[in-house]
Amino acid sequence: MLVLTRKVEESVLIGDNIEVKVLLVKGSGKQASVRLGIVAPEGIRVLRSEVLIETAEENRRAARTVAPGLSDVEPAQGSGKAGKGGPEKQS
Amino acid sequence: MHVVKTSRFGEVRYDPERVIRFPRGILGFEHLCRYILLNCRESDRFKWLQSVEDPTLAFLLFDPSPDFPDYWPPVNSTDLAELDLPSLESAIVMCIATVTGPPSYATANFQAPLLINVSSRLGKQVVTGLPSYKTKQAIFHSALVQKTG
Repeated sequence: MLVLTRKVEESVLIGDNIEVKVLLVKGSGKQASVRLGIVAPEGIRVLRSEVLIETAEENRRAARTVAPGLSDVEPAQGSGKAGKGGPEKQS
Repeated sequence: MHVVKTSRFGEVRYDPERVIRFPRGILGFEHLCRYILLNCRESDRFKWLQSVEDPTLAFLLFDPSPDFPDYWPPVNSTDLAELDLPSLESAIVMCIATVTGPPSYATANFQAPLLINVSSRLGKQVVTGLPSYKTKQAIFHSALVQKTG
């Protein structure tokens, strides 16, 4: 990890078109918080990092889903139906 | 045709040409990239995304649009490019559902929907990070209640 010290109103540049600026520092010690302003191109998403952890956790919970009322399934797109000629290959 | 011996549905035969690839995997399961989409005969609001690499892994997917017509996740140009999508309208947008207790407690992750391009067979989970969309959005659908008898 690259570690830099910035004062309020100072910024860091990442690559050609990302800027992170320190706008405000509040509090002190463990309660301190920093307000950051971020400029990034439209195609680059900026997220609080906890969001990725929370998403992974929710996905893991979702993987344990039990829904017996929804177990009559068939592959989507009806690929097994008419359209492809010839006999099916034995696997 | 290939076969995957799934834990939920038994043997499922599928056309390997229909496998959907998630190049980045799905968060929490980054090592698994190949899935097939299964329709539910009981309900067209739900589909399953079944891993063809891990037969025990499947995600129940919920279509938000009928109940949430204004749901429009902020997808960016990188998301579209990664999936070869000309626009969001060409994609299937579905939310991963969590049903681990009574059906009335079912939720779906509206904050991080799945985006699937069926024609290019590519998919990704778009983590929007938007606080206005819930990771645990309550959903209820009669199909979740198993009919008895």
